[in-house]
Amino acid sequence: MQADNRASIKESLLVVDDNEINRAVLVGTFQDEYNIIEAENGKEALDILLQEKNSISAILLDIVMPVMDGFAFLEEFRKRSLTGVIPVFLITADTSERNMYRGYQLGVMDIIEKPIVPYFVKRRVNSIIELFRARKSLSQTVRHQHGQIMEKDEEINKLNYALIETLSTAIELRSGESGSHVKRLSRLTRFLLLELREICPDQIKVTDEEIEQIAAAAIMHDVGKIAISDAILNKPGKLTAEEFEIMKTHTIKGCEILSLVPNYQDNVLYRYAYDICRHHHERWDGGGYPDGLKGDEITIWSQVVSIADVFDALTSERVYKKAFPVDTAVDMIYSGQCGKFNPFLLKAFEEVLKKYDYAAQK
Amino acid sequence: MNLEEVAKALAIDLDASVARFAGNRTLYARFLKKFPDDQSMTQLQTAIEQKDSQALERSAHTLKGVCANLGLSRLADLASAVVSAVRNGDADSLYADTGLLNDCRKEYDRVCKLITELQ
Ligand SMILES: [Fe+2]
Ligand SMILES: [Fe+2]
Repeated sequence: MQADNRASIKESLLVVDDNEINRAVLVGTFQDEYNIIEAENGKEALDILLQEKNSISAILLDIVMPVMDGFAFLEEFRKRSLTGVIPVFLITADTSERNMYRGYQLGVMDIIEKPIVPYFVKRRVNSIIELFRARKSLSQTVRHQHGQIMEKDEEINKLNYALIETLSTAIELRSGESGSHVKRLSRLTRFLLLELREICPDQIKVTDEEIEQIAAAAIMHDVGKIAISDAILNKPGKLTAEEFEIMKTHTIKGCEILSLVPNYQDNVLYRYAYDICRHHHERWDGGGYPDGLKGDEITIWSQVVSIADVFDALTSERVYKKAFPVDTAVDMIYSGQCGKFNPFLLKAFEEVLKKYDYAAQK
Repeated sequence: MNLEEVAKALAIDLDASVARFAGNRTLYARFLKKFPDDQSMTQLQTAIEQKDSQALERSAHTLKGVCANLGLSRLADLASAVVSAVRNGDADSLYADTGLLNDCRKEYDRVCKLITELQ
C-alpha cells in the first residue's frame, strides 16, 4: 500500500555528497521508490532546495564536502526555517560523538554510518518520511476544519443579518415606506463611514469590521416604530404637536425593545444598534431629540445614520410627501432645513454622492 | 581476474557490497573500477607533503567513506586510523613516523593494482 502510494506520487530525495561513488550507493538504494536529485555540496543542495522545496521529502547529507560542508548547510537550512519541515539524515563515515552531537543540535533526524546497509537505511529513512507525511496531513486537516468553522460562523452572521433586515423591513412596510429604505440606509452608512475615514483618518478610526457592524446596526434604527400606532405612523397630513411628541418616542421605544434582547447587552452590534436607535434624530446644533445632544456628544455612527436617514427619506415618497429630486434633497440638507450636521460629515456626504450614483440604487 | 577473485584477494564482503549498489554486480564492478580515479588518496598525499593536518583529516575521512561503501574494509580501517591519529593531535608524529601512512599507501597501491586486473 505504502509502496503504491509512493510510486504514484514519486516524491524526491535530495542526495548531497561530493563523492560520486557515495552518491551512487544512495541512488541505488532509493531509486526505485523516489525520484533522486543529486548535489555535490551544500551550496548546490541549497540552490536546489529553494527551487524545489515542496517536492523534496528528505535530504541525505554528507558532512565533509568542499564549498559548503554538511554543517554549514544545516545552519543555512535552519536560517530558512526548514528544520522540522523536511527531514535531514546525516550519512557519514564519522560517527564520533562530537559530530553526532553537533548534527542533532542542528536538527538532523538521524545519523547513518557509512558503509550503509541498504535495508536498514531504507527502513529508517522511510519511517521518518512517513512520520513527516502524517504530521503534514494532520496539520492540513486541522487547517481545513478551522476553515469549516469559519464558514459556519460566517453563515450564522449572514443569517442574523438576514433576520434583522427582514424584521426591520416589516416594520418599515407598516409605516408605509417602500421596504428598501433600510437597505439603502445601510449602504449609505457604509459609504459615508469609508469616506469619513479617508477624509479625516485622525478622528475617524473605524476598522472595516466595525463599519460592517455599524451598517448592520443602522438597519434597526427605527424598530421603535413598532410601538407607534398606525393612525400616527400612516397619517397622510402633518402631525399635530401632540402626535409628533408620540412619534418622537420611537427612538426610546426602540431602545426598550432592544434591551429586551437577552444576553446580548455586551455584543458590539447590540451596542451600536442601541446608540443608533436612540440618537439617529439628534442634530449637530443640539436641536434634535430625544436627548438634545450637541456636536461630538453624538457618536459618529449615529450622526452618519442620521444624515443617511434624512437624505433617503427626502428622496423617497411618503404618505405625507412626494419624493424630492436628489439635487433638491442635497440643497435642503446643506441649507439646514433638516437640521444642522457636522461639517466633516457634510463634506463626506458630498464626496459620496459624487462617487456613487445614488439614484441608480433606488 | 573475475570479481570473486578480486573480492577474495581484497577481503571484500561481496554480497554486502553489491547490495549497496541496488544488488547489481555490474554496477558495483563499474564503481569499483572507478576507485583508482578517486581523488581522496591524492589529496591525502598532498596534505602530508604540506603538513596540513586539517586537509589530512578531511581526505582520510573521505577515503574511509568511499572505501567503506565499496567494501574495501582494510583500507577503510587504515584511513580511519589516520583520522583518529589526527584528531588525537598526533599529526606531527604521523609526518615523522610514517609507519601508518606507509601501510595506507601500500594497501592503496595493492587495491588499485588488483582493480586494474579486474576483467
Ligand atoms: Fe427614526
Ligand atoms: Fe428611517
